[in-house]
Order: sequence, then structure tokens, then C-alpha cells
Amino acid sequence: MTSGAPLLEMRSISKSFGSIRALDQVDFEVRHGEVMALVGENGAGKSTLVKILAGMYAPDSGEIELAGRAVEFSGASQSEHAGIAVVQQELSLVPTLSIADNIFLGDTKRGWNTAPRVLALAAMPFLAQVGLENLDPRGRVERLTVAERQLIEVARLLARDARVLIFDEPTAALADREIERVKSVVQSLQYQGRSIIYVTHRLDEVFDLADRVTVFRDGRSNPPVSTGDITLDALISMMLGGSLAALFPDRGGGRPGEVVLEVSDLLTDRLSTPVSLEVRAGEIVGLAGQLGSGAGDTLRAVAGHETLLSGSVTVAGRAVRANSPAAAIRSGVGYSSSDRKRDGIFLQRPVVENLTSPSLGLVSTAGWLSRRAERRMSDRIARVFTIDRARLGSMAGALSGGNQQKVAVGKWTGSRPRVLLVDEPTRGVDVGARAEIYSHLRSIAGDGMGIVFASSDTQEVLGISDTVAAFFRGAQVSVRAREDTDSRLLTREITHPRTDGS
Amino acid sequence: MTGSGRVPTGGARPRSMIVPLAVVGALVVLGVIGWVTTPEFITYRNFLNIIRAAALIGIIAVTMTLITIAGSFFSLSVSQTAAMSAIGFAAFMSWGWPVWSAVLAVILLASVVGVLQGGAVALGGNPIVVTLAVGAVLFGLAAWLTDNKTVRTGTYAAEWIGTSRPLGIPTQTWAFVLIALLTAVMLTRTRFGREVTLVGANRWAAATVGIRPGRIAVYVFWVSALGAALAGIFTAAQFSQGRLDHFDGADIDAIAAILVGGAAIQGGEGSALRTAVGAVFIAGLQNLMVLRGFSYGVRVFFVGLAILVSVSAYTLLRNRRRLA
Repeated sequence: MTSGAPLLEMRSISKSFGSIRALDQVDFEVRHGEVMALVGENGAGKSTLVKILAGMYAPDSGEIELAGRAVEFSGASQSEHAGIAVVQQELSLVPTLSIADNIFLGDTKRGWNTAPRVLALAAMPFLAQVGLENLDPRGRVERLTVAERQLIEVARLLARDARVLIFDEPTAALADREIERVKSVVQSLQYQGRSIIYVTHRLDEVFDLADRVTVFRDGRSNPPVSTGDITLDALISMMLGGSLAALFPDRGGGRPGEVVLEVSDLLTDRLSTPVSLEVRAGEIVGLAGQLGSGAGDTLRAVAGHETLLSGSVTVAGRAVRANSPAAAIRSGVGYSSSDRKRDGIFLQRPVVENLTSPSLGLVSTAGWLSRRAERRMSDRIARVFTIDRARLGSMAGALSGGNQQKVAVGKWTGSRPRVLLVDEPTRGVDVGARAEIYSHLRSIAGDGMGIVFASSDTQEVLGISDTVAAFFRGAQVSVRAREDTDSRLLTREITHPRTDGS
Repeated sequence: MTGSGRVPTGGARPRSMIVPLAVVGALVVLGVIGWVTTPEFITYRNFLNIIRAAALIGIIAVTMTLITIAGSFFSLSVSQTAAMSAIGFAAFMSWGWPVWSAVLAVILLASVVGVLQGGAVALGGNPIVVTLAVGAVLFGLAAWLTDNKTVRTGTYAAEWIGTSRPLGIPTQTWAFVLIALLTAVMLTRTRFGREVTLVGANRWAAATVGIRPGRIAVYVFWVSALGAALAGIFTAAQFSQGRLDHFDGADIDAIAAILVGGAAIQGGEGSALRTAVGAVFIAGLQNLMVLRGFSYGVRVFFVGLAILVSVSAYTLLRNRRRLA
């Protein structure tokens, strides 16, 4: 099935953003009718490569050949004409339009006759190819499940006659049964002779679906390996390589204090089994897991942003009223979300106002704000979190991503909560600011706060946690002391826990 | 304010002066145009006319500014709330109630209207739709109960509220200045004002730091209804009567004042004092156009134009600032 000559070949591709080298002389190829898996840690360069293929970024150097001819994509439509299409992670369907409308949306070759009946008829074969022949093409997209929408997206790309389909973490947001559906569509596309690039964090999918796998690490590529010739452990080793010790602060010798946060049998509809956790003063607990693993959802639930189906949260011995962010904050729980721009920061307000926003009660007397108290508090936070104090008066939106993240996390230290929950502490943050954030988290833990963070980056979890909990598809897989785990075990637990490897 | 321990504010300060300068600049331009073209525009008498007219629009607009800053756009029921208050006040006076209890009753009535609207918005209602609907309900109710007739107070007991001039300045104007200052202080110096601003800047981030956007919505709509009630009481007292059409066009004038004042339509930014200057601008513009003998249609045209120009100008300014 996978004949020798590559259909798509990329050679010595490099791409830099400012001083950061996202891709460094990367080679990559896909053969006719092949499923090529692309794996690597966060920041390894996978999404940069995908964006280059989608025509969204131009490479700084290197060449791309499609079916033996040199090609250059300088826009999304050009790569689409060449037959390369990306199944978007963030779905790009229009919910209020019909399925058929979405399949032919923006298709300029379709001509003027867009009567619903005509489009529906034309859409049928493409729906059949993705296993959705039972759907009425005139139905609205908003009624469909996430997996069905993703398959509609695939059908849309098939309607454009895509030869190379790129799936960018297609199963990240899906439940198990829906994942099977996507997988079987990938297989049937392969039988039709199409080539597939399958980007994923889930290593079980690599072995289930792919013929070969390419591993990216720190912006460099390994030569592709046939999945029949590699073990799971060897694959994990290739992904991790050496680690950056200097990125992480010393853990210090302090003994953890009394229990500040106790989560027992917590269950929400995002979790498949109940979660229990114990966090002590001065301790950093890392919840490791991919998107959809339940690690971030556990934090959201503790912070009062999710409805609890069962279970309880206790802070410093006192029960916290569920389902209310305000009640959680009053009990001493701070929460910094993974989506900073959405609910972590006030971009159009000054940094000072951001820093004092969770502690307005502390900087006001009888409802009157004290500018001095505000300045003192924001000054103190800025000093601890190394935020440029000259920029306290500027709009938060004018800061770099790293400084915005310091504001989003640091603002919680103003009211000195007992527990700080941080979802993805370093998302969208460059390496320098990452190291700073790690050392700040360690130092505020040293002041007696309990810290729980969720992350999909195993290096980060292992680098700063005292206790590590692994999550996989809505379930807590394990809780271990840092000494009792390593990157191999943890990576296995968050990608593929139910095998009998070691 | 030049203490040495003061944290420098970076480049933000000079840039944030652009909007206030633009608001005052618009007023100055209007004054110059009036002065050049129309001799009777710049007279003490006409100045009193303008600030009296500005006062009513201003009270409504300044209190509505809280709604805009909180991210709930505008209230489209303020003219009906004000008319209802004027009619209610006239009716209560005509029943022989003492002035203070008539005032209190009107305030209670308006509070119910405001809190109900705020509650509907807190539950997720679109502010424009909610206030449009409430406005229609109030108007219909008032027309029905009064049978479309003017309600006379039948007494001059409350006339002083609308006509007296302490220190030569009308009571409405005193109230306007006082309310503008109080609202400005509330917005910039109190915890409540900060919470209003933060909810408007990003309601999800506000909820995450423990501010309850729903509660803020109830308060801002309440304050706006109180402002409208006050305008209604002043008018009913001044003319010793309440009529349905007293406040025709007040919605659009108040919104124009807010927008000329440069509040961000999507919330999170705005100033009570700038809205106050905007109200004076709109009142001055209306006054000038009446003096020039412009017809009603032409006047509406120019108010609409003022909204268009200011919204476009501030949007361009803000976009440039964001890129800078």
C-alpha cells in the first residue's frame, strides 16, 4: 500500500520567530496512501510544520516537493489547490448553515446553482466517504456532535479533492466512542489512496493507525520510523531526549506543612471517575494530562467554575460551597485559567488594576479604593514576579505573552490565598519567562501557599512538582511522589496507561 | 502628586489624554461655530438655556454611562422611564400627597423598573432587547392609564424643584453637576466603580476574580432608572404637569452624549465627566440648530451625524493606540 516514492517531501525546512528557532533544518515526508504520524512534546515544532503546509507560514529556508515538483505555498488557497488540506483543530464550520452548505462553503468551482436540493445531492458522496451517509445534508451543523463536525470538516476537504490530509490532534476533544469513528474514517481514507499526516499526543493512536512515525524534538526532526519496528518505550525516549535542568528551580528542602486543600471524590461531567487529592502548604502538585484528560477540568471544578456531580472540596479544614467562583475565592482559592485572553486578564485595563482585581477588598476601606494601597500591592507583586514596574500603568494588552502570564498568575498573590490553582502555567510563554514563572511558583510555595497546576508538558510537571498526578481521558491514573516517577513512566501514564509495558 | 516614591506610569498617561481632549475640542469647535454664525448663541441668557437643557439629558446620560461601561451597551427605556416618573409625580401631587412622599414613590417605582431590567440582563437577556421591550411596556401602560392625557399636579407646591435658581443657576443644573461629579468619583474611586469597569472590560475575567457580573448589571440598570426618574421629577415640577411626550428623543440624545464623550461601546472604558461634556455638546448643538431655524428633521440628522463621526473617530484612535 505504501509504495516507495514520497508524495510530499520537505527538506531542510527552517523557521524562526524572533530569536526562537521553531524549526531547524527539518526533514519530513509522506508517501502515497500512507498514514504518517507526527509526534513530539509541546513546542517541538509540530504545529509550525502544519502551518507551513497549510500555507499560513512561509518557511525561512528549505524546499517542498509535491509529487516530484517543487512547490511554494504563499497562502491558504495555494496549498489547497495543490491538494493539501488541514482538518482544523479549531473547527471552522458555520453552525447555523446546513451540512451541505458547509461542505461547499467557499468552493468557487461550484457555480451558481446553490439550491438546497442540488447541494444536498452533491454532498451525499462526500458524506458517505466519512461514514455519515445517514445524516440529512440539509440539517444544521449546530445539531451535530463534535466528532460529527470534525468529519464534516473532512468531507469538506474531500470535496476539494485533497490528496494529503493533515489531522492536527483530531481526537483531543473527543470521547472514546467518537475517537473510534474518526480513526475508522482515517483508515478508509487511506484505502482510497489518500495520504494522511496524523499529528497527535496520544501514542496509542500512533500504533493503531500509522504506517510510519516522525518524531520532532526541540525543532529538529528524527528520520521516520516504521511503527512495526519501534516499541512504545523507544518512541517515548525519542520524544524526550535530554532535558533542560536549568529551566527548573531547586525544590528546596522545606517540609510541607498542614493540609490546605482536600479534594474528595470530585466528579463533574468532564470526568469519568472521581478525583481525590491532598495538597499541603508549601507543596506543588502537578496534574499531568493532555487536553481532555481531566487535569484542567479538576482545577476548574475546585475553583467553582464547573458543576459538581458529587464530592467535596475542603480548604484549611473548611468546606467550600460548590459551583461558585466567588465562594471559592473567599475560602482562599485562587485560579488562573489556561485561556488567559478569555478569562485570565483584562487586556484593555492597566496592569495595576489587573494585579489588584482579585483583592479589591484589601485595597479599599468601606468601599473606597485607596490608590496608595493599590500601588503598594501591585508594586509588591511586580517585584516578586519580576514584572517591569515602569509598566504598571500601561495596558496589560501591551505586555508580551510572558509578562501577561506573570500578571495573570501573580495577581492572585495579592490576597495571599491558601491554595493557588494554575492551569497551563506557561502556555504561549517563551523559554526565559517560563524559567521565571517556575521560580516564582516555587518561591510563593515557599511562603506557605499550596499550589496545584495542570499541564500537558511532562517536563514541566516533573521539573517543578513535589507530587505528580497523572490524568488520562477524564480519569486520575495515579498519584505519586516526584521521587517515585520519571518521564518515561509519566509519559506512558498520560498517553497510554492501560498497557503492561514495564 | 509628585512624590518621589511614585511609580512611573510609562507611556500610558499622555496617550490617555487624547479622548478627553477630543471631547472638549468638539465643544470648543461648536462654540466657535455658534459664536461666528449666530450672535445670540453666546449670551448669558442662552448659556442658561443650554445648561438647563443639558442638565436633563446630562443626568440621564451620566447615569446611563455606568451601563455602557459595564458592557451592557445602552438602555432604550430611559425616555419612557422618565416620562412615567413625570406622570407619576404629577399624579401623586394631584392626589394631595406631600412633595417628599411623591418623590419617594417615584423613586421606588423607577427602582422596580430598573432592578427588573437589570435582573433580566443578569439572567442573560440582551440589554437592547430587554430595555426596548420594557420601554414599550411602560409607554403602553402610561398611555393606557392616563388615556393619553396630560396629568396636571393641580398645585404649585413642587414648582420650586423645577424653576428655582440658587445662586442664579437652575436646580437641574446643580443636580446635573453634582450627579456627574458623584458618578465620576464612584467610577474612579470606589470598589463598586472598579467592579463595573472590570466587568465591562472582560466579564469572564471579572467572574474569575470573584466579581459577579449579574449583580453589577442589576445595580447599573437601577442607577440609570434613578437618573431617568430624577429627570422626570424635575420636568413635572417645572411645568406642574406630566405628559407622555415630555422626553421624546431623550434616548438618542443621551446615547449621543455618551458616544461623543468617548465611552467604549463594548464596555470597560468611559468617564462620567466626558459624558457630561458630551451632554453639553449635544444640548448646545440642539440649541444652535433651533436658533438657526433648522427643522426637526435636520436637527435629528445632525445629532445622528455627531454620533457617527465620534464613534468612527474614537474607533480609529483606539485602533491606532492598540497598534502603537
